[in-house]
Amino acid sequence: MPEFGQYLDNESSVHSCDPRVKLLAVLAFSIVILRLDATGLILTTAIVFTFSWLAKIGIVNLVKSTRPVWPFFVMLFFIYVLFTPGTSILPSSFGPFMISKEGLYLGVYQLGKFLLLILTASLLTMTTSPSELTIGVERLLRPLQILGISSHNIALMVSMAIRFIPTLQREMNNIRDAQSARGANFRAGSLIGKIRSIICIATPLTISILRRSDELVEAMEARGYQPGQRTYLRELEFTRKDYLSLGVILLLIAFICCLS
Amino acid sequence: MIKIKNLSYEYKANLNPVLLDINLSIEEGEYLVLIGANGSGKTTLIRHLNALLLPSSGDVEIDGLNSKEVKNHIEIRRKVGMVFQNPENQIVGMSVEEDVAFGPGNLKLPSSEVRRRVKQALEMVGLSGFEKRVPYTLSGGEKQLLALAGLLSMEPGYIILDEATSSLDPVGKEKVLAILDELKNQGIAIIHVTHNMEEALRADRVLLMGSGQIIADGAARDILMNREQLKALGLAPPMIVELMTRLKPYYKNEKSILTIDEAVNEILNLLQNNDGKDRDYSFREAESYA
Repeated sequence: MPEFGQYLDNESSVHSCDPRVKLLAVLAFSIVILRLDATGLILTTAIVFTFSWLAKIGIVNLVKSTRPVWPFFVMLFFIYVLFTPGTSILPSSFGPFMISKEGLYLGVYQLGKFLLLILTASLLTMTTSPSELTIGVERLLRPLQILGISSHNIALMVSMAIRFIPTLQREMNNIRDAQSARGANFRAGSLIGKIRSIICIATPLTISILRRSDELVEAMEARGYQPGQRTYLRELEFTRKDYLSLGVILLLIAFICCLS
Repeated sequence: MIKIKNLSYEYKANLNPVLLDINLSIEEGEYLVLIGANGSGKTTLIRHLNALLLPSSGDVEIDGLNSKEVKNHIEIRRKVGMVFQNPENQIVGMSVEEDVAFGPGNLKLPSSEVRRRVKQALEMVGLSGFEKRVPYTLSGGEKQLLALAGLLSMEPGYIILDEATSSLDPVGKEKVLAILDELKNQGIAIIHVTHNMEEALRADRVLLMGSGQIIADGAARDILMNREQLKALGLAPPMIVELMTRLKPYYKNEKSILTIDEAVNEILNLLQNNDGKDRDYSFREAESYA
């Protein structure tokens, strides 16, 4: 089962689509989703599921990939159900709480919106590799160069942040193991004790990050890095297929907006 | 050719200089090993060759390009590649091919040329087929090969390795060293900083550094056979040199023995020439390691 947002290297028309088209589509869908009614939500869910089928990911896999955020959804649902005033569906209330018809509807509706937002974002990252995403962001941000903001620098920052996540994760585990070997207990203890334990990890980890950054900067300089303009392994080119995809997506969004 | 003239360097003004009046030239295709104890100035010296550090006084010229002129830095860094000790901290890309493409990208080469160089560099270090791999999933040796490929894609004339083999296992180390030999044969100069005396044996030329100065500069055999000088500078002579020095009383050969092959031959001779008389092979106390 794929993890949340994990890229799946399938061969599909969705995968081969220009990352800019996919980024723009997700951006447009996200804006629209926040303003949709129930009919629009059902329609958009059907479209997202169709894209996941086209991407050979499968609806079940796509939904399962959002598992890490389910506890948050459950919490959100109960907040809406218990705190929304309206007609109670039960004969008695539970102190200040009440399960209302309006609350249930709002809970399901808001849950649907958030789940759809997460599904759309997950579909993007499952069909676009991190490097394609970075290049896509870089290209989309190029117009900002007029304002003196370098899209190359932003892309490099994003790619390095992603690149160093596993390294820092491993570093943190090493520090935690080293502290555990010297008697630190990260599981038990009072809240203050737990905060102290976090500081025990955070301090050496911060030092390590600073040291790594220093070495990384030096290595980058040694390889001729200079902020600003640079070239890439692959340059993105908008093909006829990409224009067509963008057109179809815009039409779908217009259709949903009209119906909703 | 790299030319260093009267190079002195101090990290902060009024502090003792880390490098003191260094004069040196390095030819194309040369395999040079730099040895010295910690704090002897090796790393400071090599960072001048890539314009990561600029001289406090004196000059460093790479193929006629003076490192003091900022406009020369990109070209100097293209000509002189550098591999650091920790491969993890020099990998920038999210995939192997992207990391190798980082250098050519900085040189603003067209994408087709970047792709050609990435393919060629990965072939040279034996990482073809690893293009899409995430660097995090590579072994330590593979990461160091990736770092090397990242330099090769810039088509340098000189490659510096700053203790780049120290964290590798024997197999990974041997692979990197074999590639260095191959690069040397292609005319690329190798400048290798190491504490490992066996690695130093592969060099055409060895520089011995101490207290920010070049103490000795010569053929590997001459420098590495000088046990007293190495020990005085806090370095351990190669194991073979130590072994054969201790065996010296039992064989007559006056030639210097530095490699395992030479040592094996000599020991075999020693055993074959045994005339049957009882010999005392116990080592004298004075011959033992200091």
